[in-house]
Amino acid sequence: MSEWDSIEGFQEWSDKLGELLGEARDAARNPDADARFAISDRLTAFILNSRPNNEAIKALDDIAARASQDLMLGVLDERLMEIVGRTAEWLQVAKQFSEQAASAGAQASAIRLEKAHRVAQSLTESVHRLQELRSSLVDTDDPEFARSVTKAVETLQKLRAQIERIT
Amino acid sequence: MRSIRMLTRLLLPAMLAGLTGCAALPDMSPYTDATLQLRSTVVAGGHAVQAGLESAAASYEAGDPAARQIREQAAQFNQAWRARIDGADALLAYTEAVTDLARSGTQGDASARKLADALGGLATGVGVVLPAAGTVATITDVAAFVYGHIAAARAAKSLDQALHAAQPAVDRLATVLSQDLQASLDILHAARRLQATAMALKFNEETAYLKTLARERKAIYGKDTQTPADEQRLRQIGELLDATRSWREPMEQAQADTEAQYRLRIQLIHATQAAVAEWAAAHRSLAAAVRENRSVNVEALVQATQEAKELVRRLRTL
Repeated sequence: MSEWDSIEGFQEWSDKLGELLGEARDAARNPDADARFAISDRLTAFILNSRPNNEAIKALDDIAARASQDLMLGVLDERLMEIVGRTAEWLQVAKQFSEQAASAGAQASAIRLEKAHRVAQSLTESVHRLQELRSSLVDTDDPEFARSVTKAVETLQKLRAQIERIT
Repeated sequence: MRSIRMLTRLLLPAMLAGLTGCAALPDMSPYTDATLQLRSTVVAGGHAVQAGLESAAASYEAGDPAARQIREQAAQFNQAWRARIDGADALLAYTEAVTDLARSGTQGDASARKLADALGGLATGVGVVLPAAGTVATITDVAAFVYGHIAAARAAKSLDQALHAAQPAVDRLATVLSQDLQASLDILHAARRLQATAMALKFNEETAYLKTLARERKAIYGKDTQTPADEQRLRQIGELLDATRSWREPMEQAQADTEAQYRLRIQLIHATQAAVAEWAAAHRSLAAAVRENRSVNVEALVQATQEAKELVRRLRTL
């Protein structure tokens, strides 16, 4: 036998709703949402079980529905505020992970000798350009400039040897 | 030349093992895959809550203040959840970076050869006369072999530092996400109840009619003896109940579908909670494994994320 089976007539249904609304008020003060869920279920059960379905009983159903909705909208509001309140912390955690990712990426790159490889490639390219320039110089060109180009190639050679040593 | 290479292969490992401490790097790819899946689950969890709120709003008549309020809350939730998705993206970027760091330690040999090639090219460019090709190959082999060990040791050290430095952020993320998921569960429970209340009012007449017939039938069945009039009434009730089938069955089906969707959304959030806890624990295990130079098993994490993946798939098919 359910809690609804023995209720008869408007007055008894009205009394039952009064009892449920009292419990709903207590539940509304309870920070634990489970108490509110439980009373919301009973208010909905009240709507489904109240009888006969005349205008007076339907008016009671509307009151039960509003009470249940208010409780549940309150839960939504509270939980949403909690989530919104933690958003700043998420931004901070995301920033920390981004920094960690950048740091790990830089270390992986260093272990792969990527910087040294890029420097070597870039120097090789520069050397080729300088060699091309040197071979394009003719005797009539400025001899001082030709000597500078040769010196630049020698400097690059030294630099190459140093890269080899440090890596 | 072959004997030099042979000697190198025989002596260097022992020497390097002493110097680098035999660094062993874990295979991080299952962890990256699980993190990718975790990210998808966070996205799907947000969609599930959003869908739960929208279903609740749709149960009300157009223009009902409760529907408007629920829709506003859904929009607010959606906006707040974006920060969680951004966080999950950053987490994935971090996991990929540490996985790449571990991989870099296993590619030291190739990195050294690549650099040797580049330096060889440069040497030719500046006119350095390189030794005979065989000698260069041997030097490169030795350098690559040595650097392979150095890279492994450097990567293990960097990985150890990276994983330990990130652990507080990992723990914090797991806590905050778990709290958000708990709040999401309450949102789904509340949305489901708002929907149930709206449906109870919407189908109040129909439900009352069905209950009245059912109650009358039960009363007749409860009699000690049934009169012919009772039997006649039972037949009538049966016919009346049959006549309700055209509207009752779609209504019951809609209610069953709504309930099934709700259950699945709840399951997904629970599965995400479990996956987050496993993920943080696996990160801690990985950090310890790298430090203690031992292997690690992330099977529990893989299983937890697989379960969440299956729930996401089922939700999509609904």
